[in-house]
Amino acid sequence: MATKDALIAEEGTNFGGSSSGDIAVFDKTAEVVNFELEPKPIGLTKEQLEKYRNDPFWKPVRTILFVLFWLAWVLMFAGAIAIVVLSPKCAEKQKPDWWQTKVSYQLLTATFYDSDNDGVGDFAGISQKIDFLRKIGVTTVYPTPVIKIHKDEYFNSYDVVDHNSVDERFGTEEQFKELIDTVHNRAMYLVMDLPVSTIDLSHPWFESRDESKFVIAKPTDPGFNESNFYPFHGANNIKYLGYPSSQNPVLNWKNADVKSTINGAIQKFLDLGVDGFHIDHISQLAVDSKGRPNHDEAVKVLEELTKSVQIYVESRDELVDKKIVLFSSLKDVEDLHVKATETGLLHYVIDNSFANLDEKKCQPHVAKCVHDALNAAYQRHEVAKYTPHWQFSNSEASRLASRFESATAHLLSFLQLTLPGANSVYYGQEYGLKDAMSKNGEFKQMGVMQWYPAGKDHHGFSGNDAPIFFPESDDKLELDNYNTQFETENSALKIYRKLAKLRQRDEALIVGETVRDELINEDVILFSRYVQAVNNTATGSTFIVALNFGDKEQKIDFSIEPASKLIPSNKDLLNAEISVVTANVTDYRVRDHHNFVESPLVLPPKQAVLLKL
Amino acid sequence: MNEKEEEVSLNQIKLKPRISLFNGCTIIIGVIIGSGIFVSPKGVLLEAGSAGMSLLIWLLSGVFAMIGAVCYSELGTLIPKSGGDYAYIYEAFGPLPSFLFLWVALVIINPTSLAIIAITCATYALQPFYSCPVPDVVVNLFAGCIIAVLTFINCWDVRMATRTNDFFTITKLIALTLIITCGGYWLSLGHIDNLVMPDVAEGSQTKLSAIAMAFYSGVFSFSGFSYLNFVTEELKNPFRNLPRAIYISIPIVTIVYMLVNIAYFSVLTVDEILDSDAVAITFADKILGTFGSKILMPLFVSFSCVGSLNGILITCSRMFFSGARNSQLPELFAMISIRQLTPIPSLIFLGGTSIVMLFIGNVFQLINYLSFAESLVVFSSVAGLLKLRFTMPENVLNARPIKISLLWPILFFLMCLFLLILPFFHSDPWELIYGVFLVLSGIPIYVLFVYNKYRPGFIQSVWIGFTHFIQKLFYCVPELSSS
Repeated sequence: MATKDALIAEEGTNFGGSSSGDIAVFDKTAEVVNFELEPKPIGLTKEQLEKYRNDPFWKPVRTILFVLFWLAWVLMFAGAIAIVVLSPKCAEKQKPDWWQTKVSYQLLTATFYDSDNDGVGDFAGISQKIDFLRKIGVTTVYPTPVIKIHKDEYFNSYDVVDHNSVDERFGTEEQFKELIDTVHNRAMYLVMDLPVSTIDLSHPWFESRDESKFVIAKPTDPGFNESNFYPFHGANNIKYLGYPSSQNPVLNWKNADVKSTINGAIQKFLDLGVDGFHIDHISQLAVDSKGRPNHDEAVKVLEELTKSVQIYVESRDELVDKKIVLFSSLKDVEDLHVKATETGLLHYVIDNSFANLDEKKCQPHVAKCVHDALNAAYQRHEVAKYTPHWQFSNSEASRLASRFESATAHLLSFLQLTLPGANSVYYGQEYGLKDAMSKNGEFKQMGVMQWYPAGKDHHGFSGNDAPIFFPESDDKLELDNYNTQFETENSALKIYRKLAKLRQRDEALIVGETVRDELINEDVILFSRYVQAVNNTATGSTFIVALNFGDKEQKIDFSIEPASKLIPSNKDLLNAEISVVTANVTDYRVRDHHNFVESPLVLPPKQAVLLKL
Repeated sequence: MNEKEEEVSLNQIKLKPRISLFNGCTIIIGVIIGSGIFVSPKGVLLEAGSAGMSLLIWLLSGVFAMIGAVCYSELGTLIPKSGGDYAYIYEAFGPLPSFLFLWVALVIINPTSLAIIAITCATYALQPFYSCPVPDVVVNLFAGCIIAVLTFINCWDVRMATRTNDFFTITKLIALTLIITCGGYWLSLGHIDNLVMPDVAEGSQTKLSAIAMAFYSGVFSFSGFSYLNFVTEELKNPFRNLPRAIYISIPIVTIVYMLVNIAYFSVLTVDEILDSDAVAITFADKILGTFGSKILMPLFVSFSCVGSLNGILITCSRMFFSGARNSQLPELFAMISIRQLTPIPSLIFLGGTSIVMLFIGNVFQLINYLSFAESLVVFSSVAGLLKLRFTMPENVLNARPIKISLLWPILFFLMCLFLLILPFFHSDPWELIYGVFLVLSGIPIYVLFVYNKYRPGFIQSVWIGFTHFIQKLFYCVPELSSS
């Protein structure tokens, strides 16, 4: 652009109101300047502005503005800081303890993975397979048993013969320690059984006929004629208390040696790094003269026991920051557990009521039966005010997939992983493993963990190609193993994994309240989970779980009761996200959004959908 | 600036070439990499479905950006004017289309995006001091402070502004390097599950429409690759440095994006990433513990935002400057401070409107309507390049310093066309209608204030008075180059 000095804006003349259009333009360089293209500039030129540079009026104005700008800035900044400092500190969210949110995985040491090809699973085998568990969202490993048990027994951890050593058939103490370290390296936890009230008949204490360590009845004692007392080494003038059968003599917790031995064992395993203990059969910690549980006394003994754990943990620098969990199972005496949990002696009690349901007991409507079981459980938890810990399958009863047909079992696992509280899964449950057939009909729920389809390596359990002691499944489809399902999209294992991870990630599933389930058409179970705030609003996300246990397609209309009761007041279903679906739900794709106000949720038979609002 | 220097510059009041190659690279990288990669690198993943597919899409988006950048390097050297897209659209299609672009940028895109970035910045900067959500009023005050300081720096000295930009771009890259290193370390420990079969491909989308949408969001993560073209005139040796800065920066950004995504995937599963409110923070929580997620990462995120804010301030103020020089915006915007040699009025306008936006809460959704306008702009620029290749006089064309094969602009044109049409099949049609409406709302403004040269006397005199007032206040004059 050529230099042109437009004089249009000469100070003092332009305020007269003359419009810029008719002001002459001097073209100093006599170059042709095209006026049509651009309107004439109105700004002052450099020369015109020069005199305002150090003008006694404008210079101070500039300085003042400069100061004002920074003053305002400092005020704004100070204001922000002041609000930050002065605003009341937000209460730290109550963080749930680790065991309240983790998914615990109970496995049988003997049948999980055989690393040395001797036909029996071992600690090193669990270490080797730990990443497979981590991958599917398992956070707590619970191997059963660890402590040395009777030589003819592989599974029953109550058959203790030496509290102070690990069972050498499963590996050395170093290997167990390695397993603990492997688990901890992955930010996972390890818990184990610690039988405190009974031992095996072959335990040296019993074999050496040390009466003082057992609950004994002489002919004059009231218990002598009770059916749960058995002759002590065949003697007819002395009997011992057995629980649950004659195989397991009950220990006398008044005996100092018993106390110190068991406390010693606890300390030893704490030192190895164990994160918690399953302390069961606590009803037998104190009994009356007839051998019946004495709850108040038992609680006192338990208190002594837990206190000694606590004192020990606090005395050791490497343990003091750890939270050691102590838990039990409901199968024993319920009232006692409630008491123990209320007094804070036990952190939780496993609710295994679902582990005993089966298709037969649940006729004609599984959903109704599940609904009732849930209600009973909720009532228990409400009264006792403890965090529920769900177990739908365990080593003491037939596997979930054998008690129910596969699709139903899958739905039940889906349900389990969406319930509030903690979860315990039994190995194989994650991919729908069924009971295996052994020759004598025993060990059916104790078949080997199947890693691969059937083959010479016993479904990947052991490299030992000779026949092994533990049964394997004979399913012809070869889908009931970890690897096949891991490679299949939407397999039971994959859905298990999705749910296991989701429930440890989303606040609504970690600590969210549950709106009691509704039963629809006898076949559908429907409930929601969210963190409740005032006026039934939800903080964060809301999950709606819909499970169709029936054989017919079901439509759920959320605009009418009872389904509408599940929706928090600040949420609607205009744009619900599909969070998880079972394999045969074809209408909805995960992460798609649907409007369930205009159209109902359609659930194909034996399928489930998890919605996120 | 001392008296002597000022004396030297007396006859040449214009924006000086002070941006080096290095500064140019940091501007491009700083503008492209905003808070997105830290907070929500989800758009691609959501549509792509799997880690493997999304990495592929990121790579393709990088390739797309590179092709685009090649075209822009030719545009930038063919039309060596500040103003970027604006200047190119002006050259190729004339005043009205370029004014419409200026209009949406002026009233909506720039102020709102600056305000949004400042809010993100303030939110994360304050997070270490709060255990619960930070109150809005504090965020807004703090965001205002950040914009004000950056505007001040930009007014004060171009060199200071570019240094600020260097600093924050480098911290941004350090933060991303930290993420990449952590991810690499995690992978080296053997945590490769998410990146090997079957998980890496699980959930992959095979529908073409979904892949196209994934690509669409991938491309938006690269938007800003043309921002250095806004300041062409201030580049030292622009014919050499503009293309170089582009060729260096885009591959760096692509590689950084890919590696950061790999790092995320090494630690987090697809579901975890999609469920996270702030991916980098979830990532840090898993791998660096509380210090990483509560203090380090939020600070990095806010630093990254400061960098983007500063880059946008530098570049967009030049766009207004360029518009005013073409008489499409009030002359004030083309004024340069005599002392500072910075476009103070347009910077203050930009900073000021952004601060105002902070306090008018519900305008933010406007920007959603304009993603369409953004792709329209890039589309128009490259269409302009094609047009100019055929309409410009031979001698000008032959003299251009960078000659790329016609294949690239044609390819890029087709890709942009595709991106422009795609939302019509997917998005809410109302969103597009609003977008078109916002763009067209510039037409009456154009007719009234730009096309129409007549001004009623009293308005004109008030306006002149105002212009002079601002000039005196900031001691600034229109660009003046001595010949």
